[in-house]
Amino acid sequence: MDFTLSNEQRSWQMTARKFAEEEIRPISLERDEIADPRETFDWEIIKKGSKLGFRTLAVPKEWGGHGTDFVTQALVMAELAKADSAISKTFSQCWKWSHLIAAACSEEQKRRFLKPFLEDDTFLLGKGISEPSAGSDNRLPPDDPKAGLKLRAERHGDEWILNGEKCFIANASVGKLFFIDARTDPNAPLRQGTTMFLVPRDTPGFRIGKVFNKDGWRFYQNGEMIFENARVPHANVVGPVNGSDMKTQQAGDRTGGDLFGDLELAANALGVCDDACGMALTLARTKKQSCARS
Amino acid sequence: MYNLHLSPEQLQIRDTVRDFVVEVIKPLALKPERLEARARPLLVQALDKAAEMGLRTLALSEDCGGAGADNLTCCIVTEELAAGDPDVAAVLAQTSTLAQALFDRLMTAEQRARFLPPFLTDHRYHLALAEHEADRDAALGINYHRPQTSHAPFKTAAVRAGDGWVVSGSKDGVVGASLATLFVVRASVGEGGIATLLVPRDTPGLSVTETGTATRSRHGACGAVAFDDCRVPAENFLGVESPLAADAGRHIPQDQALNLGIGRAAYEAALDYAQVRTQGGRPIIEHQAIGAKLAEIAIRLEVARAAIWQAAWASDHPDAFADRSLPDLPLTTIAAVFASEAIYRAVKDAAECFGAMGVMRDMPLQKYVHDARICLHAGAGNSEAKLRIAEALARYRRPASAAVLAAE
Repeated sequence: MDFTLSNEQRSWQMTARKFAEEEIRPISLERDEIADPRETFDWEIIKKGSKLGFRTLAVPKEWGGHGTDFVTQALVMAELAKADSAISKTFSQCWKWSHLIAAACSEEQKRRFLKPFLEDDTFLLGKGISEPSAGSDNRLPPDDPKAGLKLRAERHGDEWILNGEKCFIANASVGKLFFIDARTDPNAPLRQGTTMFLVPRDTPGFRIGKVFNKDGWRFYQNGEMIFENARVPHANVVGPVNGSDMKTQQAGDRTGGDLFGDLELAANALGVCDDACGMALTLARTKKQSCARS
Repeated sequence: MYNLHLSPEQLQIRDTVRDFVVEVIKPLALKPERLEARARPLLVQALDKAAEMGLRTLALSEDCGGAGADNLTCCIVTEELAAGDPDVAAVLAQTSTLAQALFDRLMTAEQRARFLPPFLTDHRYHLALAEHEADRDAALGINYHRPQTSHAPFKTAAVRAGDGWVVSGSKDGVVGASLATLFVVRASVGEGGIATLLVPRDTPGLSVTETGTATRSRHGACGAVAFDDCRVPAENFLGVESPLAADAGRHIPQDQALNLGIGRAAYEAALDYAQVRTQGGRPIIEHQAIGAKLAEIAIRLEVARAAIWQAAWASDHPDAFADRSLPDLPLTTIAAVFASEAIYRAVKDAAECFGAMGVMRDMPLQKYVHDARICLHAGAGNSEAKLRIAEALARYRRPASAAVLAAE
């Protein structure tokens, strides 16, 4: 067992720490104060972070990304979260789906979507699973065809027509490309009747509804997605039809999204806790009470 | 003689207040625009109706025109009110408790004749205790069980001038500050003395700054009160005792009853939702993960209520300490520490039953979490409260001047 950080890992950590202190912390509270949840977002911080590599951190090197390992990703998330948990999450949300692209997309899809993702500092990613009546329903038995997500996709020639809605979807109002899970066989249980699609923001018939007004993570955009005869080319099907299984089977993942998701929340929370403890220690070392004796 | 029956009167008033909360307070309190922590003006309309029902004068003796309710009954009522709105509950509890202390115990006949009639006739006449000061060092230190070398006098001072007193200084965290008609002010007098004076709101030089909902540390329309050479007649001198100072740690656990009401509101919301929300082909209450969570919430709230009611009953029956029916412990402080931690956890769990909706600002769950967190930081906080309990365990008794501090 060796917990020593490599020079590269240390370097990413320091870059993230500096960016968090100098760029994120000064805007964190003011972004939180904004009452309209759609207005809390700030593209400048995304662009600045993107130029430092924080948006494309998890894209493999052979595709032009930084190809960092999970340890580096955890370090960077914690450092960014020290200054603002929600801004850290907005960046790492892109890594989550970078992993999915690497694991599940075809070479042709990678060419079509990874290239613009890497070139555009404002290109953010998301994935739509949850629906108003399907949260944990997607994971619970029984394997009833009526259980789980309802968003429907029907094939018409080279296209799929999507109808339904998603809710709480991260980066919904700011993302340019989304993975969307849809039911393609309504008579089969969720795991045997769901297909994953790549849906660009400008897909006809696809729009964003409201942005949810959360009590925390104000910067992070969780929104509704509405599909009204949205037309998605067959070339955008990820993996086999009826084979989404809510996760990347190729990666052997059985956690519902991907292995990265659990690591992500833990590392982010660690950063928040680290900063809170730091503030408490500073206060405890400097504030004087019951000092009548001195 | 151990007996946990509530009296018919206690049951009746509980039901009456519970109905009032459902019919009047909740429809107002749960309006979406009120749920955001930073914009929650006091529900004056509900407060007025509660006053008309007699809840403003609940603890005041029948002789003085009140309902003469004992401490346990007051705590039951406060829990019910707080399940609807903690601010309404806190303001009513404060006025009722102070009215009992002032009119039944501390005022002279002359003062009572002057202040009681207007208090009784005006349903909007509220009382507030101006005691806490921002920079006053009243917390226990590492040598908590030894006498403090300083009595940490109030910076707010009252100086004798002619046939009256001149009060100057400032207070913060004053419950009911934004609407109180009469302030009960604790101030330093002379060399190291502490006195209590009655300062009407319309006294020239008195100004109130309301504390925003998002930044305050107490429930109940809190604010800061500044006294800029406020002159009051000599007859407004009340004495040296603090109106709310009972035996340290054995006062009425009204803040804890309020805390409990917040917990119950969250619990009832979660219980209702768990029976209507279906996932995995059945209501989520039938899933073990949610069932166990709801059970833990129920356990925490029931045990907290037992501790609070015991402390409330004990404050009504101090003789029960003397005859060894009750342990020689600061039961209210004990209830405060246990209840605030248990209820905060219960409220957090209740919010989790709602999944993502539990953190949305247009749902009440995030408000309950905020409200319960405020109780967690009440007074000088739980760390300090534990030191006070430790003092009792060590059989250390704080000298009188410091005992007054302990009642804060």
